[in-house]
Amino acid sequence: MAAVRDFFARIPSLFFLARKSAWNRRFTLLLVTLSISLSTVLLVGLERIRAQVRAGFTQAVSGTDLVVGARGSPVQLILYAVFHMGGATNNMSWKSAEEIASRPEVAWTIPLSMGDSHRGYPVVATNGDFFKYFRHRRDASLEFSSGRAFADVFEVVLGSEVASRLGYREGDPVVLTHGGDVRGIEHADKPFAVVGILQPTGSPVDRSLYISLESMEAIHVDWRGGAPVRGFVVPKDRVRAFDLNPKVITAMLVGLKNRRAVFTLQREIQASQSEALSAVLPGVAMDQLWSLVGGWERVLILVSLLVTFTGLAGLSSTILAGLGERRRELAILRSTGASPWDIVVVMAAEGVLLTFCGMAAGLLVLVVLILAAAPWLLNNYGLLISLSAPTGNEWLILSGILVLGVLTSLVPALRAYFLSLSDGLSPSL
Amino acid sequence: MAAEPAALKEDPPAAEFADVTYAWPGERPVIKNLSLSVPGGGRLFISGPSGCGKSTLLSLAAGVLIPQEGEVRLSGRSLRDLSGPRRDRLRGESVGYVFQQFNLVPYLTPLENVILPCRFSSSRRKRALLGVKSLKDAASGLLSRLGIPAGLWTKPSVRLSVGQQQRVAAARALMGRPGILIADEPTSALDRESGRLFLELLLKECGEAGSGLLFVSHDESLAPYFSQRLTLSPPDISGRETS
Repeated sequence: MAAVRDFFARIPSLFFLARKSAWNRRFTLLLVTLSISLSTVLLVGLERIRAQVRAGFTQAVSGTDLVVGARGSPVQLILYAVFHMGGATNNMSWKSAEEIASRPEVAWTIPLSMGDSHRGYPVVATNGDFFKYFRHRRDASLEFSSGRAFADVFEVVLGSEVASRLGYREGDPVVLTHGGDVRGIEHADKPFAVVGILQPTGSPVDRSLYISLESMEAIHVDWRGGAPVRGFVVPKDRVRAFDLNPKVITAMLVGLKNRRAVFTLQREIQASQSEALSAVLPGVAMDQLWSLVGGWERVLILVSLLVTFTGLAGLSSTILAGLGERRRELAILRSTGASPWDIVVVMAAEGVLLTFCGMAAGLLVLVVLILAAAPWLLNNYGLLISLSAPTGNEWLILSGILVLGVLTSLVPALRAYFLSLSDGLSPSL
Repeated sequence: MAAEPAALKEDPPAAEFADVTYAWPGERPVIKNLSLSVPGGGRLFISGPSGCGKSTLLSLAAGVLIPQEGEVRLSGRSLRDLSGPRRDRLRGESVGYVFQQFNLVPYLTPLENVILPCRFSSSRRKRALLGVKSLKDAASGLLSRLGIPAGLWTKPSVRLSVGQQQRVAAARALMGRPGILIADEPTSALDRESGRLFLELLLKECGEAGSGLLFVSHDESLAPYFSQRLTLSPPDISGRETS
């Protein structure tokens, strides 16, 4: 017991020696420390990006309890209702939408009508409830970076990426294209005016344009069956004479007062006699979709793990390489009362200190990187990376690097132990 | 206790070999049936040709090696029954060691080098602190008595001359008044005159500290300074202690 207490009493001294020794060889060890910093930057940085990409993906409609559309596959419904990709083969009637909205357990609904586009970006027709109830990222609501929601026909609200990529500002005219193809027929006779631009969300909202359901009807009053009716043109200022109430929509997001009612409502909607509908819990379907597109995650993790192993192997081999010329030093330490185990602690402590410094430097670099690159990432990739305390996963990574650092440090430390044991006070140099 | 003059007490010998035999693995014994005894404050001069086992003897005395036969005792405590870490601890407590050269830990200043034994042994630290306020004071006292200019105490150790390095090593070995000081040809890197001055300083300080001295040297001209001497013979011939 006394020996153990004695040993622990020496630990501060042993770390003092390790620190002095490392500082003495700081230029040799700088590279090793840098490679550990790089590993830290890569592992923690990629984890943060991965988590944000995943959150941006799976939490694209976080407040929504059910996504309802014409009967079809759940994944397809999510693809067009949430990500505005592909098209719906069937619509659902406005009547069904109103019926669902009027149910007592339903808190809110957001109708969505798709089909048009603008320079490749999908145009989504909805109503004011979209700005009021739509939630992404756990509980973030939509905010305007400028302007307001649409209030009249021919008014359009832009997602942040649409605005920044195409250089639109409030008041600019926007001409919509029929269909999702860039080369489709343009609704050139009925241009829209930009009235608002949304703040970045890191979700598909950034890449969409929003108009009212009435606007959607208005640009198609003189269209039938997906094409303009020949010889029948309704000028822009006359469309109000027509009935602009929607007859069909593509899909609907539904929020409940009480989440526990979700399975009952899902069953009832799917069993509806009046229309063949699908109701999908977005979380489940989006996890399925993520598992489809998220394979790059594993590749990234693998690559950054390899980088980390390389860095730590460098640490271990650098300390090992320096060991030969330190045998004299080990003998001096032994002569002044150090046991071979003290030598182990000194050598391992050096590796641990280096790992620690490398990690600290890496985190510092990461903070600077996040601060510098966050706006750029948001604008170019729709990635919402923010500065915050490390998450659970990130703590796990950091402690993992430290543990691996300790383990790899033990390699030169044990080598020093055996050297010190065989050399004693007279190293055979 | 440590303040009492060593000579007045019935102290056990500072270092004692009783019929010690040691052989490196797979080789013939390099030390055979060696007996010697250095009393507290005693001085033993050890000489002999290369390969006669001088370094082995010193490693045995420092408790780094364990004899196959016989027994080594430091201040009356047998090293034979102690575990490795306990032997290391006993060495830290009661042995000061001076190498031939390259004595200093390169990344520590002379002052830090002198304090080093007190980092490993608490009893060494306690003894060093007797009569002074801090370890730094104790180390400074030794360094100035051994003639190291104060301006060098906190400079990198590698800036010191060989002679200065040996004197810092002596200060480190004397720090905390160990029972025995072991010096392995400490003057061989110095010229004759510096070697003599070094030995005189070392003997004076050993006397002050009450430490016994095991001194290995090729330089027979230093032998008269010692009260005991041991000439080790080449391998196969057992060593004899002469007085």
